[in-house]
Amino acid sequence: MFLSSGIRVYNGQSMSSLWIAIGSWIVFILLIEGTMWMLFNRRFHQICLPNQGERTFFSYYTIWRNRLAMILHISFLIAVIVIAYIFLWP
Amino acid sequence: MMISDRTAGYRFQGKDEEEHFQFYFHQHWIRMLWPTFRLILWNVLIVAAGFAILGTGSLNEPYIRQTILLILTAFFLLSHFEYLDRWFHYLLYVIVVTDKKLHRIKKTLITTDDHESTDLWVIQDIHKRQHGIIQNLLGYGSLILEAQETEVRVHFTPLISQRYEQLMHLRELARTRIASIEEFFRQGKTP
Repeated sequence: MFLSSGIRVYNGQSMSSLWIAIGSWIVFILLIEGTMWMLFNRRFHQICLPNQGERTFFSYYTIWRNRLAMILHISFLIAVIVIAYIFLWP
Repeated sequence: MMISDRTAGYRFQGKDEEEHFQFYFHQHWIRMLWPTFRLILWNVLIVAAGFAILGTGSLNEPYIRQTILLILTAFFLLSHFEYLDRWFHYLLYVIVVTDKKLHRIKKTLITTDDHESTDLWVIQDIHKRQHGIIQNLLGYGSLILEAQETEVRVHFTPLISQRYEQLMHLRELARTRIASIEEFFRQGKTP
């Protein structure tokens, strides 16, 4: 429901379905990204750890920075979904 | 990068105890250019579709809005997971060069686990190929290593001129070592 000022107002039922939807997506994202990271980490440890840099564009892409990038990516996805759902959920 | 105290003890899949790590490399970052562009394109399309359908306020049926939002979210996440898979695939393709061998290790998260080793001393010819403006500007290209019956092609090799020189040098060292071993055995068998 919209007020005349354009601000969305949720009733109780809509509010709970909104947070159920957001919560489900967060669990889904954590599950998929966590599984992918676990599989990647297991494979990568068998090869060779880039603890030191190559002299290329990815010179700073060491394993812990990759982990940090994953955390930032997860945070980005969750933030996008939360913001989009708060504004667009009926 | 050549062998140093920091890298000498490197262990990786298939490494022999007598081998000494020299350097490794992934493919050039240009490999990730198209997947990155595709991810951006998908995101722009999804945001534009979401704004066009849901942002204007013309669609007020709650269940239809919810369904459309769920579908757009699914596509948004799918594009990101696909990119992530491509990124991991990129990181899991590594060329490792030791003082004796060249290891090509190619893995995916679940389905592929390839490891190809080539002795440096059996390599007859090493070709460096850089075709086109972009390859020459960004300094990447293909390395073609010809052995007796096999040919190893390493595409999208970054810093190709440097890698080429390092490989030539390591091959000569490996050949010298093999020649000295052969000489040692020949002298040992001579009465």
